[in-house]
Amino acid sequence: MQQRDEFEWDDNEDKLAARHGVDRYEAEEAATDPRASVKRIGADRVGNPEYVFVGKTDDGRILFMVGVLKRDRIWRIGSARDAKFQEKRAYRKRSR
Amino acid sequence: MNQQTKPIDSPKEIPSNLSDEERRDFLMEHGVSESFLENTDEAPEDERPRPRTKPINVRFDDFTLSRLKTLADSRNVGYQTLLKMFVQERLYEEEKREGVLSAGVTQEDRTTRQTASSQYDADSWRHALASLDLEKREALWLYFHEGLLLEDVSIRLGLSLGAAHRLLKSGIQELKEELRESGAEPEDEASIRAVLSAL
Repeated sequence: MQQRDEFEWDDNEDKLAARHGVDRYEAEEAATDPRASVKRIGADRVGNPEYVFVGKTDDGRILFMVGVLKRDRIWRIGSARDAKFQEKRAYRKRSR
Repeated sequence: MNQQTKPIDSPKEIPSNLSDEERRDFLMEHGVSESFLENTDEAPEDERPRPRTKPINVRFDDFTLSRLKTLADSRNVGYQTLLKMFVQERLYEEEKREGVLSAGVTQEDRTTRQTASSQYDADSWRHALASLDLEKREALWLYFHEGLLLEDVSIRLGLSLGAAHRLLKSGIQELKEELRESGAEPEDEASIRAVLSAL
């Protein structure tokens, strides 16, 4: 059985849900979407690689997220929101 | 397009003097452009979050599938989500019948809990419950009285796991506050379960 990755949150998750209407389960679904775009964008101050994600939830909501991969394969999701027009279009083209 | 929130084409456009939080907020606000998404390399396989789910292939006849889709539409959820909900609900029922689940409330449990709850004043509990929102009351009831797992509570209420969890948490909080006024505040979740399962 494949080992699964752990997720943790920068922001208090309730705050995130209130601000962008995304809950952590939706964010995890979108992040692990096999068709998601995962792009290295830089690194945080400590040197952990940082990524942006564009992926779809099980219910078809396309989300944009920023996250960092820490040691022991823990993903720290900084924030999540609905994808904007260009992000959505690129996702749809890619997953066609 | 507003220059300040224009999607970025390259990581080079991220100002270098930002703190981690500021950079995150910058990225959230600007987003990335279509050409960035199309023209930069995807992260290698071992740098992608590993899914905890696995896709499978199932064949359905048109008739069943169209019924499922119609029902899903009327409930405003995706049909695959509905399918998963049905499988989970049914699995729960079957496992309970087979005695696989220990979380289900057995007759024996009920009797012991009945004794435990006899020290409580059932009326003030009913009163406290009645003062909560319908949704919170329902979540508490399903979780503590019917002994459902959080996941099943969320399915019954049509909420995401996170939302069901928040609802339950605030329900517990409010119930405690209500009961505190009548001097019967429960100590922990176990004592809430003991009383509610016997109410």
